[in-house]
Amino acid sequence: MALSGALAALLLSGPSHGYELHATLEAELGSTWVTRPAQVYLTLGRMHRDGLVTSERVRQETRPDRQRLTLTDAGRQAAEAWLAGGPADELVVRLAVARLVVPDRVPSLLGTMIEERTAALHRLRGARADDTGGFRAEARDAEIRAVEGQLHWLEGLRGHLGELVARPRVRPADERAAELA
Amino acid sequence: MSAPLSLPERLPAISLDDVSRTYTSGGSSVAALEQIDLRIARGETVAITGPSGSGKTTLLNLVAGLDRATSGTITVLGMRVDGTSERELAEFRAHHVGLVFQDPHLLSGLTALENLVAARLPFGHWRDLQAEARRLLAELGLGERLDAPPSRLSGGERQRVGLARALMGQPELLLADEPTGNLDAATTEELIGVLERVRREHDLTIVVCTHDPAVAAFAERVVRLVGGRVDGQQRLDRPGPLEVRSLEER
Repeated sequence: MALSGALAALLLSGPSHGYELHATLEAELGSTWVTRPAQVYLTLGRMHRDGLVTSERVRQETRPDRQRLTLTDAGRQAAEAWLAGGPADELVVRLAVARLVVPDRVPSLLGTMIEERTAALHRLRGARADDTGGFRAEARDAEIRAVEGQLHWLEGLRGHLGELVARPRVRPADERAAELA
Repeated sequence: MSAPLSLPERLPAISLDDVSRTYTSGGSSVAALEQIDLRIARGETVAITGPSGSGKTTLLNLVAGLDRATSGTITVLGMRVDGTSERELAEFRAHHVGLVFQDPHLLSGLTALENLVAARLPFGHWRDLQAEARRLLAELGLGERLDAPPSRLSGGERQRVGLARALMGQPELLLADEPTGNLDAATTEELIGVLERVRREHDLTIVVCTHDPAVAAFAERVVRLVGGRVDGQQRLDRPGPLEVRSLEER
């Protein structure tokens, strides 16, 4: 699942809490990140139940207590599995998170993604020959075009990979506000 | 996916052994290709990919005998391309190699049919060539466009005429350099479909240079060049399950 994979992967860079994880993804992905904070907390609860994270209550003076989350070994495995081979419709989030937590591995991840999508396109084109009647050919074409779009987008990233990895992360708005206060 | 061919049929159509190509200009030299070792089997379809300046076109030109390697050996369909005279190379290309370029360079004063025939006039009789050209153009979906001049053909149609011209004389090897470089996405997909058919119906070894990953996926193997060296290879001819996810899983 996208969200638990993304949250686990973000925790690869160290312990954090739900609000910060959500704010980081929102800051990096802008309005394309449509997940609500409540969904993040719910998913983190499930990850805790499944032994992917441990939780520790941290008291705050003026704000509600926070749950500090740390990745377990199982959580680390889940994070690595998601980064290396998560679903193809999560390419954007996978690369966005990889850029933050494992920047040195972004080039190889990108190469793996391109190979995987190239193989997928090859298979889709092979399957198209059997698509006759109904709306089958058109439906297959839609899939083919979608994978082509992903490939063009991924290949485009190769062109400015150095800059992409070096580009500073966007700091969440409340982090900036706290600094000014 | 096709079953593996028997060993004799999979003997290399193209072998490059330790091939380098260096261009010198004004006292400085630039290595376009460095120490390339590559085998392409008979009947195989290979895409050469990589960014601009990675050496794709240089590699294709060396295989076609349009350029000479600085060092190393190149064998194409059993013939050593290096060390062969220009005249012999031209003869060899005419009978064994079809070339497709980004721009098909059709002769504007001739029809589609005449463009195919004119290119082969030194090698056959007009009537035979015309029959072959008609058959090929029909096969590539241009049966109704035989008499159209290039100016009345779309970009995709012109490229298909270029492909049909390359198939005249039944070459064993088809070399294509950025064949979809001037085409939009829909026409690119259409040309890939035509190339798929050509691959199935003609007994061809195909090498396509392309910067377009969507075109590369047409091949059985993708060879990626970076900075004149082979950066990686990927096989695509192994059957694999299609990704099928139900709506519930999404």
